[in-house]
Amino acid sequence: MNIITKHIIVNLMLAIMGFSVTATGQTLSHIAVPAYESIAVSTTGIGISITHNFSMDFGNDLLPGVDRIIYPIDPSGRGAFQIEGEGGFEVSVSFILPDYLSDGVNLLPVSFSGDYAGYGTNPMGNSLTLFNPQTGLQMTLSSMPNYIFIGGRAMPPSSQPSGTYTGTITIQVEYTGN
Amino acid sequence: MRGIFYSLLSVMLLVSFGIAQEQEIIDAKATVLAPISFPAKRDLDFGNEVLPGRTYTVLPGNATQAGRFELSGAGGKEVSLSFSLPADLDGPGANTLSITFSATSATHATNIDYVTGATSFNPASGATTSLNGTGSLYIAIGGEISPPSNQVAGAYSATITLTVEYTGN
Repeated sequence: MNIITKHIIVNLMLAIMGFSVTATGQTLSHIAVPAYESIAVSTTGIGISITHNFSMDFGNDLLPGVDRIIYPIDPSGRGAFQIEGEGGFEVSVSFILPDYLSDGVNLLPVSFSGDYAGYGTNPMGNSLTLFNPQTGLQMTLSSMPNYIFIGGRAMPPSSQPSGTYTGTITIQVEYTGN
Repeated sequence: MRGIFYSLLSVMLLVSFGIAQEQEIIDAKATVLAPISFPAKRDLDFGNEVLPGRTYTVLPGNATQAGRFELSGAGGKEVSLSFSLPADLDGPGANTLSITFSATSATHATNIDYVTGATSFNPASGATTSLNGTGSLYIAIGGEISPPSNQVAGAYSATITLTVEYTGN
């Protein structure tokens, strides 16, 4: 009974992944090989590709003591990613975000807590659905290219030394299985 | 055997879902301009021969007695100027001497002589102006004292604080 139950679970998992499985009722030794082979072939068809269209730029004229905010709807300054995958499948989107930009010696505080990211299918960023990049989100991929834009807030204190500061923003996208 | 199979299956499922994961990196960049600094200053000085019962006024254009602040920052950028002003100067013992400031007690100028093209403002209200093209601004402040006839002799002093911030414009 226990074995049958597990067989059903395996079959469901494979069916979700787009397989035709006929292993129900087979013994354990019979099912092992086709299950192994099927998994290896099927998943290669569900890939994700991400390309970065724009880096993020707070500008060349930040003033010490004056915050600079870039919104995801701002045409200039925002970072942009293009994501292509299997339309209709759910993915989780998360970011690895810096707390500071650096010039190699000094640190410039930055924040991304708020609606500083947005996604949509318009390459110009029209009609974005906003979200907090700190918490990420789950979204259903469109069969069209999907675009994610990100802004943020730079917060140089009044004593911030002049210079050019940089950091990296990493986006991670993966299928949830839904 | 069954355990090995399910372990293998689990690993393969994880591996296969792992294939459908991607990450990408972009740069975030910002260039910060020069912070505001005060490379030079001079105290407001009513002199050593103040007589009780008389009024002494130092104008901001006074080349030897007005208080002065030289600012340095990002060229052409707008700044706000605000003062923290004393109501009294503190003297010997618990004695004080009142000091007042008027609508023309302070000036800001973009010329290093502090006078050419200077604009007057009330230091109690502050002002908003811009640094010159090379990032300099010259602030001068005067004031007025009227020691009563029974003012106790001695040295009196207080602190005037100027705060400067970029407005973002």
